Amino acid sequence: MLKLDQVDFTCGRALFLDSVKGFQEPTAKIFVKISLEGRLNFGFYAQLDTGAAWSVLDPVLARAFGLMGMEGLQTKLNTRFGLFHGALIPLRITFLAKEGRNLDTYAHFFISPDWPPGRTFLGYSGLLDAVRFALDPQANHFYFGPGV
Amino acid sequence: MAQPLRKPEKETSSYAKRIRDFVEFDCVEGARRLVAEAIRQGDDSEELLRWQRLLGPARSRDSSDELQLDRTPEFDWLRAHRYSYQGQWVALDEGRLLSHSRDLREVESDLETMTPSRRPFLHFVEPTLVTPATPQALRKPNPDTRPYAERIRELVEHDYVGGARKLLAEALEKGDRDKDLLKWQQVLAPAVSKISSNEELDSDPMPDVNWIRQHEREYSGQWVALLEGELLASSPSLDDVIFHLEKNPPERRILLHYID
Repeated sequence: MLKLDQVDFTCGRALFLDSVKGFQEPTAKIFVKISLEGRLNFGFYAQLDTGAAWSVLDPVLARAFGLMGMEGLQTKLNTRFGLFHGALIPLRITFLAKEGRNLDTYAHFFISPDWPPGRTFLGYSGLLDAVRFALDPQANHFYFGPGV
Repeated sequence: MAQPLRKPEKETSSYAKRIRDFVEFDCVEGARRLVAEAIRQGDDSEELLRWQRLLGPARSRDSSDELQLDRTPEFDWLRAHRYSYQGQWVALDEGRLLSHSRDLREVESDLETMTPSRRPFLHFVEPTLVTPATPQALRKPNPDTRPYAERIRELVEHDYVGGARKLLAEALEKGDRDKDLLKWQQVLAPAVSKISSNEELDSDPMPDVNWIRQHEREYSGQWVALLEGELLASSPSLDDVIFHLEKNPPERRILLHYID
């Protein structure tokens, strides 16, 4: 794993995808596989978005796993897809490593029934700002580790 | 959508025109493929060669003997003076203003006549630091008498998360214990990350990715559950897929994916 001054900087490495069929994005983006705490052992792709204030969970996944309608702070999110009303819900996600160790992150996700299905974003505030990460775009490697 | 994406029966536009269309619709990868195709077809027009250079991969190499420049004095200067120089280019040297103008060329021209102690810091000061859209909570024309929770909500809804955190700290310092404020405290607290106790590593994603590429049309509008390139379940309803998986639990972690 990556080290900084001889100390571990990251704990895991995964392959990221720069395009995923199903996400209608014209340019390369960074999709990483995460899992959601719940009754099924599964992973799914989420888009890293360091420009987004909040993380957003696909409403179909939220509904299927009983997260829609959970009590959370009601708020609005103004995005390129439009203005959405929803709630900020605390979740535990796991960054899945292909090498090294997985990383659990406890963060708030914006969940709105009106959000376009099939799209989960990992935003900066309260999620990526708590994780150390690095990218190697030549090899499509995504390195991650716990924040200090 | 751009014409080149629609694939008309017979393409009559020049390669350069089609490449420009791709670029203008942010389809950089498509433009690169088209450049490669044009070159294979023997197109060596000046414009095409320009696109080839422009779309070629960026190169990076070790450079600069000034890697350790500490720009803290420049950022301190910007924080203190940015409102006075909105809409202008400024050139700074260790917290000292060397030149400023709305025209970058004027600033560059001024710099040519100077010998600053180190590489000057050039920065454009955005003219929109305070606009009608800026939340009331940030403008502070008068003491804001609204409850802290309301002001924090306004900041959050305008994406000023850093400002919301500062205001929250101020509210807590003043002893505000409004129940909404305590909810904001939870939401705005730093996330926690730690090495997982789940030791199941991820499998190679490429078999699943290749399966999706091969079957995207067939399964359009459906959720698919894949395990190492093998389809376990599919349905337009995620609930159906989950129901199937719960009846037939897979041995390893699967991929759930919605195909648009």
